[in-house]
This record gives sequence, structure tokens and C-alpha cells, in this order.
Amino acid sequence: MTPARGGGPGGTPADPRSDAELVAAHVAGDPDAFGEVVRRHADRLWAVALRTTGDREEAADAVQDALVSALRAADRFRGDSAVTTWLHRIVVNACLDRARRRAVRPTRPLEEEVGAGDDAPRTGAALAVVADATPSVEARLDVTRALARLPEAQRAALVLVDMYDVPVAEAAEVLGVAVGTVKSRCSRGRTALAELLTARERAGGEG
Amino acid sequence: MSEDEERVDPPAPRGDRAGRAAEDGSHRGLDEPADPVAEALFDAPDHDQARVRELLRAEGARPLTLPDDVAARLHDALAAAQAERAEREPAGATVASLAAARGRRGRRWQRALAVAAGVTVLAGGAVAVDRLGGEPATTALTERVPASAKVLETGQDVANVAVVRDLAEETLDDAVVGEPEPAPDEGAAAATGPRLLSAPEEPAATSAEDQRPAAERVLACTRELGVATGSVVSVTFAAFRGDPAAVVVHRAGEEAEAVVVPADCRPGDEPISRVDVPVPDGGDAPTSSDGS
Repeated sequence: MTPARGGGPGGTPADPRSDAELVAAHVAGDPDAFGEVVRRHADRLWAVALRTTGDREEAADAVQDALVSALRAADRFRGDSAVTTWLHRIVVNACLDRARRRAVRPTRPLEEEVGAGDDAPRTGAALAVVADATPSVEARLDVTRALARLPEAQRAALVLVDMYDVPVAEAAEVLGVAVGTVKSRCSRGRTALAELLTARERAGGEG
Repeated sequence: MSEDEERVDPPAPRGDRAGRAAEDGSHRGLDEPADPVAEALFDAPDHDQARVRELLRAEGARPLTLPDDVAARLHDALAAAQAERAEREPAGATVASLAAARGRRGRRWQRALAVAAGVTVLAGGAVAVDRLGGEPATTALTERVPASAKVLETGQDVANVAVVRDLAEETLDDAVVGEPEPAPDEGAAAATGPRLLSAPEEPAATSAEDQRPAAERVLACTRELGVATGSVVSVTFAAFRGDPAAVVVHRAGEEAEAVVVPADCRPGDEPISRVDVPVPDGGDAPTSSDGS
């Protein structure tokens, strides 16, 4: 198994094989093939996991569990969907599983996550939502903070569709639900986010 | 769920809508009641929705890279899983699939002939002694798989009792001795000497041999759980909620049981589950050379 990062531009020459070919090679016994798949998609999977869980450690555990599961189950991947879709599905499901388990525990206040690192969900920023075509940093941070307050299912749909431009049909496949369900979740999630942001705007104006 | 939602659901789901695991390690969520208003808003977002979408898109454009500490953890976990996989599935190994087993079901009469001639089961209950540094290990880590037992692999997840029963019944059914009424000459030919339960036309047993080392380790585990090795009908490698597992089907008289254990089960480990299995009519329990 090769390291999960480090290949591609500037490093080891990129493997010319497609994702599907790499998975097939892994199943056939190539010890480096799955590592190459991970190297290609780890950053994106990490980003999705971090946005979906809203917690760095949960995201790390989810990505690890998911990719180990994918490595073991690769021989049962039948290629009905793209490798990236399959990996996203496993990662998002791992995130949602963790969220369901965590639901029985008290949720950490959002403020505790301040300063956890550059890759941690941003919190505690000043409220400054603007209708500018280029959202300000503060506005982006605010929406991330508000996102963490949504139900996990809505959050996952918004992360995939609105944050990472995953087509709705592919998001439906990742989430294992109908297209209409993804649209509903996104729409409800946007409405909830808008209300949260508006409430903060008012609170900020009063403060 | 509305019919409309069902119709637009993407194809090729491999799990189910109750969140159970699919064959490829993923699993599926649950749909929600249709919400035409929300769906319409998705397609034609109002000002607030459009603003939120832009904010999310802008945040998503901010690059996030896998942190080094997480990458290191991931590397270690994947390397361990890869090593475990390599140990369990030597490169080039091929196994008989259940589908292939199903395809052989039509040849029961040939198996009947073989059994009529006398089933030979090699070394049932025999213990292969591991040697560590030239000394016998105190606990046998392998148990020779009876020659009559099938070593199979399935893509199914055995987290569901019904799936375990189906798998077990398949293999029991496959091992069932039919009502042999061989032609006199066939019977005479069959009676000339002992033959394996596997019919001569089942070369799949050859490929299954490659998985026997792994099956031997599994049987060393199930032996400690009270499974007489000579009674084993099959060892099927599968998954239990995404983790490698093995289903050991064994039979004594009119009782059969499927014991589900982790694929890397060692003597002394607990089983994942034990499921009683109906014995198909006309079946004979396996017979080992040591009478167990």
C-alpha cells in the first residue's frame, strides 16, 4: 500500500490507469492500485466528510472507516456507478452513521470548535452576510457555521449538491435516495440556512 | 414514498432503503415523503435560496487538503487492511461462487452415484499442528477442511438471518443425496471404489482449494465453538456489515446450523451469530473417515 498522498503533479508520475482499472487491479492483487485511487480522491473525500460531519475527528474516523471498508469490499464493486460515486457513497454513509450514533450524546457547542485548525469548520466569525456577487469571507464562514446546525441528511445533500456541484442524480445515488428527496432536502436546507443567517443578521444589527 | 419518487430513483441500488449494507460496502438511506413545494423551490430558487447556494458554493471552492496526521492514520489503516486481505486472499486465488454452485444443482444424480459408492471424507477432525520455531503450538490454528466440504465465496452481506439461511440451504441442498436409482452398469461402476462427494464433473473444487487455507483457520475457530469438523458441509466467505466473515454450515443427523464468524476468527473468539437451518429432505449428513 502506497501512501495516501503524494502522487501526481510534482511527485510520482500519475498512474495512467482509470479509477475503474485501478480498482480491478486491486482486486486482482496489485498492492498499490487502491492507494492510487485514494491518492486521487482523498482531498475531496476529506472535504465532503469534514463538511458533512462538522467535526475534524469524526471526519477523520469516517474517512478511515469508509476507505478501509471500500478496500475490503472492492471485489464486490460491480462498476454500475463511477468509482468516485461509490467512494463518496461509502464516505457519506460513514459520516451519517457516525452522526446517528452521536445523536444520543450531547452535541458540542459550536464555539468549542473555534481555532481547531485551518481545516476545521469555521466558527465565531462576525456576522456579515452580504448580497454581493462575491460573498465575503465572513459570509462564507457564517454559512458554514449555520450548516452545522442542520439535520445531517440535509447537510449531506447541501454539501454534495450546492457546495461541491455534484449533479442531483449522482447525489441521489451517493445518498441512496430518490432524486426528489435530494431536491427536497436541499431546498429545505437552504431555507433553514437562510432563516439562520437572517436571524444572525438581525442579532448582529441589534448588537 | 410516492410512485414518482420511486420512478426517478437512480438505477442499480444494491442495498435497501432500510439502511442495510449493500454488497459493495455502501448502504442506502431512506426516502422521505414527496415535497412538491420544496422540489419546485430547488428548481427555481427564490432570492434567499439563491443567496445560500452562492455562499455554499463559495465555501466549497475553498480548497481543503487531507491533513498530514489524518493521511498518516489512513495510510496505516489501509496498509493493515491490505496485509490482512493479502493473507486471506493470496494473489491469483479463485474460489467457487455460489452462482456456480447453483449451476451444478442439476447434476444431483451424479452426486447420488458418488455417494452410493461411498463417500470418502479425508481427515475429518484432524488437527493440523502449527509449528512455531520447530515446536508444536499449544493451540492448533488450523483445522483441515473435509474434502467433501465446499469452500465458497459470496458477495452477499450476512447481517440478515434470512440471507444466512438461504446460503446454508443452498449448500445443504447442493450436498443433498438424491434418490439414487442408477442404471445397473452405472451403479456397478460407481461401486468399484470410494469417490469424493464432489462429482468428477465439478472441477470447481480445484479452484476452491486455493481458499482452503483460510477455511482451515476458520474451522480451527469453529471447532472451539463446538462444531465437529467432520460435520462441516461448507465454508462460505462473505461479509458481515462490510467486514469479512465466514459462514460455516454443519450438520448432524436432521439438524443443521450456520455459524457466522469473522473471517479472521481465531480459536477462542466468539461467533457473530448462530442460525438453525432446516435440513432439506433426502439429505444425508456428511460422514468423515473417523466416523465423526
